Amino acid sequence: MSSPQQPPRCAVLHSPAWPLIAAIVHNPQIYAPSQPLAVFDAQRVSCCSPAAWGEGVRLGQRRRQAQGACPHVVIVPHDPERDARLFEPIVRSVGTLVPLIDVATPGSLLLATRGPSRYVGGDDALAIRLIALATTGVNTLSESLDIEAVLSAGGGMGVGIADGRIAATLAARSAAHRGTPIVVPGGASATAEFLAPYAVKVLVSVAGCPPQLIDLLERLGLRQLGDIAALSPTHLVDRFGSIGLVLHRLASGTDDTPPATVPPPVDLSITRVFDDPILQLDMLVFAAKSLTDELGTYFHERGQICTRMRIEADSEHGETSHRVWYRSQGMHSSMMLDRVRWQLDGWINGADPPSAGITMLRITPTEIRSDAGTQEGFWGGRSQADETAARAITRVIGFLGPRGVTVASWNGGRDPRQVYDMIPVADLGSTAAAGEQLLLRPQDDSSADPNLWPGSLPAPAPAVVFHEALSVAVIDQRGHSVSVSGRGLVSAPPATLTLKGANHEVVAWAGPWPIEERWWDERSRRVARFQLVVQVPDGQRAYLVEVFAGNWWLTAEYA
Amino acid sequence: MTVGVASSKPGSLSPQALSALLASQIPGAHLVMAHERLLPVHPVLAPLFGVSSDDPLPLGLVRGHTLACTGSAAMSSALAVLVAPTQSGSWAGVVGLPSVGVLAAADLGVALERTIFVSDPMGARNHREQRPDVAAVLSALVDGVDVLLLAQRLVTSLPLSLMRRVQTRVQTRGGILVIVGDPAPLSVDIRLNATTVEWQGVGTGHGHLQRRRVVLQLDGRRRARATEHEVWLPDAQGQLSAVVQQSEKFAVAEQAGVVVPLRRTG
Repeated sequence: MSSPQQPPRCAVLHSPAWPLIAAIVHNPQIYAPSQPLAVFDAQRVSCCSPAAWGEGVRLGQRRRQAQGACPHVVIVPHDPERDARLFEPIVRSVGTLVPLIDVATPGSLLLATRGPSRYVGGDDALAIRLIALATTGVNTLSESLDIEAVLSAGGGMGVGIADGRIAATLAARSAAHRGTPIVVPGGASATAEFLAPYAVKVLVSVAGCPPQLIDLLERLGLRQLGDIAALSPTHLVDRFGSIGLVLHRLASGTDDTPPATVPPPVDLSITRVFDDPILQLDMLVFAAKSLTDELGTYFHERGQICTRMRIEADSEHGETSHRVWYRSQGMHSSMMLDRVRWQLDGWINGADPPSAGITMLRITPTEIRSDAGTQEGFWGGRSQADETAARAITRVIGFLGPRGVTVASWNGGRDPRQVYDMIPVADLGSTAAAGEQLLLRPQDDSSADPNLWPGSLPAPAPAVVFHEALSVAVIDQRGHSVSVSGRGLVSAPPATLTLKGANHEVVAWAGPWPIEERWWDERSRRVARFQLVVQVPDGQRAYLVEVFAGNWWLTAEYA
Repeated sequence: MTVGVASSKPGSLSPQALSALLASQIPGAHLVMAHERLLPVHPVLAPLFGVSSDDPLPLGLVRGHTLACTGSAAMSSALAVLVAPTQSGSWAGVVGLPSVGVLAAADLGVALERTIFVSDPMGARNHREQRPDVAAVLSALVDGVDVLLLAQRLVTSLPLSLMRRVQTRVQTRGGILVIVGDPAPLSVDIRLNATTVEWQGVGTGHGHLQRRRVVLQLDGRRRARATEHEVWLPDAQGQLSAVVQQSEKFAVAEQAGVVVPLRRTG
């Protein structure tokens, strides 16, 4: 260990064509000895078998090109989930030797060698042991298949042991091709010497460097990692900025990303099981108070605060309610308790209550940060008012059901009932935290051009719009109902409006404004609209009425 | 500690001096003057609330108050009250008023992105045919929004004791409650009565409704006299604007000895 930056010694188990092996295990019909296989991701070859490679299939080729080079290539769909699921037995098998394993991608796992090497007696012994364990794991995948043959069809598996993630990964790749494990001697100079001949291109797949940068390096004549390592870090920083330093570290094998060999996070979830199922909210909240107080004290003592937590409750009949609560400023114990109450209140008294008492309550803090106080937004952004409103909305939805809270969204139309759509807040997003979704909603586009709707009512708009039109009567001087002809002519000036049994004198009127909508289908509607100003004892009132098939309806009031 | 300070005789002490005096008397006290617990009002409504630049203690919509909007333009005036608070970042909840004209509200200037419409909790039924707990719904809303607009039907159908509890909660929380219609027997702090004088723009078979002249009357507890103000609600753009008294303007000009120039017409 020459410098403090010298990374820990790692072992990498790598299977270059794991997606192929997983696909064969998943669907054995596609497999035959020396059958060319290729996996396509986003229409490009992401992985191919040695047989396909031999026929000219290359990584990054388009589907057409690959089929042109090798017409009988079998195309395997890209399915990372399948790859990860089938890799699990191998991880578990290696896990019998080493408890802390970092699975980088399906097909590749990393572990720190310090303990295991000493246990099994050196790096070489560890490499052999890892191969054996991985083979055991692979053999459990399928009984009918000849796994050894499948493995070789997919390019085998390799183990590389070296200082640092990059060197170990490259060693494992080479080992997979060569068929024997590669152990790079420890120490900075040996690692740099091992890395030096590799092309800079490997940094794209191993360290996630941007391809543009690699392209630039190649054009500058820096084709191998050794070329970069030979340069002074100062010059690299001068030319590339801080990424230059990262490049130098990667190329000389001193990358500082430690393997995830830290112990798994402490399980902070806290559970209370009730022997007698409880259905009373007050009792549940009282029981939850001890849980939240315990958590609150735990975080307070560590100067931490919980920003996200999951609350789960199970009923005796197996119904569950779980929801994740988030508050960017963090939650103290009383705020956690509030959320427990809101969730349980919404569940027990809500639209879909549990059919039996609650038997289990669990609170799991999932996001914690140090408690450093909060700063509200200064110019715009989300304010305290937005946060409290979002919480209130979530609560009210719990009481009234998802359609209980709506927001207006511009829709457009000729009918004042249609101009704004009322959208349930719960529909704005699929998560339970509907209030949060509301804040993410794009601002209402009220600037929509009213001229888009010829025939819509001129401003001002009525302040009361009846969603169920009220039947009224409009009568002329002689006592006949006023009608509108097919040519849009009114039979006689309206004189009286009969509304809820009372007669009102019409002092002014405008119309008819005929509207013929959707004449092409069965929803066609032909109406004529009028504005009527009537005299009532305490002044004037203005109404919007419409005549539809000879009947008069009150649709809105200019209240 | 928070000490509420009732407005003293204006003129005897400036608010700043009064605040400093009280702060020296009560160590560690954070003083909140009554006029600091205000929600903004629409500039056109400001004269009604007694807000003017020369007032030492301007009065606006005092947080915690209940306001009842009555008269033939009740809905429009209630929406007009929503305009300034929602534009300045407060949230508003509209409960049990499915017939509210959203387009009219948008034209008046209500910030719809901070307005939620809640269905009538009295009419809602969950799948067990149970009525949701109205008190819980209202208290959740009071906690969450600054301005809560309630339908008269909802207020009068709820037990009076429950509504009083909601009012107390609004006072604690510092929002305001706006009731559209006559809330009797519930007592309110402020009454805003809007009477239509005339509708303009529509004749007999021609024209269209353009603007409405409305007399707004504000009265309430702890108010020496009712204030009255004439406005266009809505005006030709669907907004709220003040009625400029042409004749008064001329009268003022005459008193000041200014000769109004004649203008050639026709």
